[in-house]
Amino acid sequence: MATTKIPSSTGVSPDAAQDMAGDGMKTVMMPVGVPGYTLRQEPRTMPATQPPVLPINADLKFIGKSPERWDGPAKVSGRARYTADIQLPGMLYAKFVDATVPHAKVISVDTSEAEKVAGVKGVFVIENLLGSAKLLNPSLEVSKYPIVRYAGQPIAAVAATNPQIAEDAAKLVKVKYDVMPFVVDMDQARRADAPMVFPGPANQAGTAGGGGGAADVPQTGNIHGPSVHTRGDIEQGFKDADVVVEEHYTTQVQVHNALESHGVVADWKPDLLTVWASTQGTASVREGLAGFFNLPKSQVRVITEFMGGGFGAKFGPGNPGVVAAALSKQTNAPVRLMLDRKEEQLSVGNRPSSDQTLRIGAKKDGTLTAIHLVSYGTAGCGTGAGCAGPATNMYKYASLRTEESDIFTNAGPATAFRAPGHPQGAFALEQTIDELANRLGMDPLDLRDKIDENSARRVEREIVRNSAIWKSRHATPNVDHGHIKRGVGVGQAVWYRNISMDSAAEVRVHQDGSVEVLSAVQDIGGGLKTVMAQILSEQFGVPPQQVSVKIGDTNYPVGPNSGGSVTTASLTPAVRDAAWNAAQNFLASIAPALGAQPDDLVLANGEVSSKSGKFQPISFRSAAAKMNTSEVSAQARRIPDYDRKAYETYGGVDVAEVEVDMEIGLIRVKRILAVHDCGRPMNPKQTMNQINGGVIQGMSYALYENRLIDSDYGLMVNANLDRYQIAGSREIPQIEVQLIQSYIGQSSTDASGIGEPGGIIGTPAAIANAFYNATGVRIRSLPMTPAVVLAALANTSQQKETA
Amino acid sequence: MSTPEMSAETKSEPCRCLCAKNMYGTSVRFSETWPPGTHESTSYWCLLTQGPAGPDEHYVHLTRCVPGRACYNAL
Repeated sequence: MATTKIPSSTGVSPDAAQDMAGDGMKTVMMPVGVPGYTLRQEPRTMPATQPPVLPINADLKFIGKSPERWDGPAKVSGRARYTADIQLPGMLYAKFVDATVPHAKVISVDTSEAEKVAGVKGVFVIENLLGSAKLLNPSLEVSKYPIVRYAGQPIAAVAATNPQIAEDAAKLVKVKYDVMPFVVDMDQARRADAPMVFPGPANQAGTAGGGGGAADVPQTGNIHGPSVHTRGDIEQGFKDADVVVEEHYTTQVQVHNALESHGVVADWKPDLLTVWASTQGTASVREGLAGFFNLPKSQVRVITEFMGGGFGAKFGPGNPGVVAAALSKQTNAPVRLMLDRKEEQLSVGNRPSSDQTLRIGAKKDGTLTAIHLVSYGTAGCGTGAGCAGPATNMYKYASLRTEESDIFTNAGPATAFRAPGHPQGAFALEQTIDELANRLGMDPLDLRDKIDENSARRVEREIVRNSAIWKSRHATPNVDHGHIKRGVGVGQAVWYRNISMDSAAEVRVHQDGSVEVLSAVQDIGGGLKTVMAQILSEQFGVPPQQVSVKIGDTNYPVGPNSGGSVTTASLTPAVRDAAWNAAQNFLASIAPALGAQPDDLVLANGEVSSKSGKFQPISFRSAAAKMNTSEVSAQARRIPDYDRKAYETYGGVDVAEVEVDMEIGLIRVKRILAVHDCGRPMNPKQTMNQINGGVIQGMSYALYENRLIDSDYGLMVNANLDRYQIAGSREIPQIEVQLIQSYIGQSSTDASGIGEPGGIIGTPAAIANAFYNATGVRIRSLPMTPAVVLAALANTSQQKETA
Repeated sequence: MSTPEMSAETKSEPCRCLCAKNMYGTSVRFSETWPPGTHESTSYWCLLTQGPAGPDEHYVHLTRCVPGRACYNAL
């Protein structure tokens, strides 16, 4: 094993450490920490084939800079083709028939009238693929259709020659229901006499009829849970506490509302199913369709050249994918199925609600002795309402107990939504920590310095502490006179360094000097194409716009599904490794023509030069003309992080300034300061753009968004963007993002993701803490609408939070 | 970061039809432990129904889609 120093300049010259010990590994020093604060060098051991260590961004030419978006011109000119833009010869347009009741057995589906409509080419009815499974409730076995568990559940679909015919014909499909009792309110669903969303009980392990019986997670009525996690002795922890704070918080259901709705274009041919999909995972769609239709993956191709956002809700083919593919097979024609806004709100996901009781014990110096979280939430007829992530992972504590339960209701199932569980968990945790600081007579940043071991967030708090917005914070709450009161608050975010090993890329160099990179990965809007181009530019010295980036096609090397903030962290090392290897192959290819040995050649700054001075430097394009084949290439796949145990979490610190109108209960967010880290920022501007978006979405969640379902009818009453309120341009505050470089020495690019930690987690809590700073009153329920604000202000029973 | 004990993980191989975002992205499905505190914020769906219920009309979940369930499919 050999040890080398960090390359002094670009880090892309071929001076990699040699594998002196012959074990296939090398140890090199890598930059770790935050420049200007904690930057240092630490050793990392990695395969000897890894490219030279990159220096920090200041010493790079393309990586870490902010060139214009590689695909910006295509997007703003309309040349970019999204799924809904795909037009194929003979293409049909499909429309779902959705359930109109929240809970029912489907007795029959009569499609005869729809099939008579001129232009209708096919009708598909979703049936239960029962196989060997037995129904828990035998009385349901007469139905060959799935049970309806929420209004808006897809039942069938019609394919026609144009969208209007499909929509008209879908209305002619007659569905006969045996309507069943339903429950849409979480509190009502918890009652013992509530209608059961799923037949049960299901906690008899392995019995015929399914359900299985999982150890440790019971089901009682509509309650799946509690799922209990413990550390240390929680009872002793509270006994050891000098101060105990216990509070109750609630948060609402939020709907994703990506700009582009879910949808696909499916083209079923005998030897290949081709699907254009609005998806966060081309691989997930291919795997889902191959599995559903029992096809080899090699006979399914998924294409996502451009997509308009997903926020976690677009994995796998979903009902739109399988139904469009089935209709395409049935009609021998390509079929497009794009959801409309109402369907988007009802059937393809949401962020679960939460009802949290959080109890924290601490010593007088702030040391946390115990955290106890009891949470309930509804993910509709799905699961995933847990929210213990922040309480579990943000701070250091002596003991912990979390009890999380899902409450089933007859509402659309949740899906992953940008930092699942974390905005709601942080809303409770960060207010309780703030309240604890008040009880202890500590500054909220000082308390967090005491209990937060994350070194990057410590730097971020220092930046906050020295910021103008924080210095303008009232030392004590509720000091303004008049009906407008101003306040400043803080909220922190925690997220996890997740890596997908399904990350590969191929880099090709052509004899004409052009360079291209290929991967099946999709760009969900973060700007991945630009980052991939920057990596090749750093390696070959050509501007990003001269690099060809081809992604979003499963014909290319496998790419990661974009969820959990994994994409940049997972794929960019594979791209860099492939670029490095392709560059070595390129040098070997041109060496004979240059009369040199490959190891005498240096590729830097767009030129090829000789270490020994055998020839004057020549341009990359001129050198490429000397290749002994028309193309050289290299493919690389992600290797594990160099030191996986280190730096498992990261995050940020958000600060909000609000004005509260005490007469009408209106909160206006005036400013947000968002200080975040995500390893090496590959393109700071794009990263900051993502944080901006996260802040806005977090603010929108905190103040406006709320899925409303009528308890009498079980129908969503604001299933469109004219009634589901989202923050608009008038509500957006001044947002300042400070992005720190936080090197962790984990991969050949050392990048992490920002989609989750950037803004959505900490902003709601920061606004709530700012509200307290302004008014001296806690607001523990989201969204903070004027009605909620006035109710909180009218509550005179709140205890004073001072020591 | 603290590491609590994980008490609710299934020890059985989950059904091959169980789907999730699988945010931890290894090539082997569900083979890695979730980061502490995030296990219960995961949403699941069934490959065969593309919804939160399995073919047996019960909900799907890592702790439910285990051997013994009538619709269980081994890998």
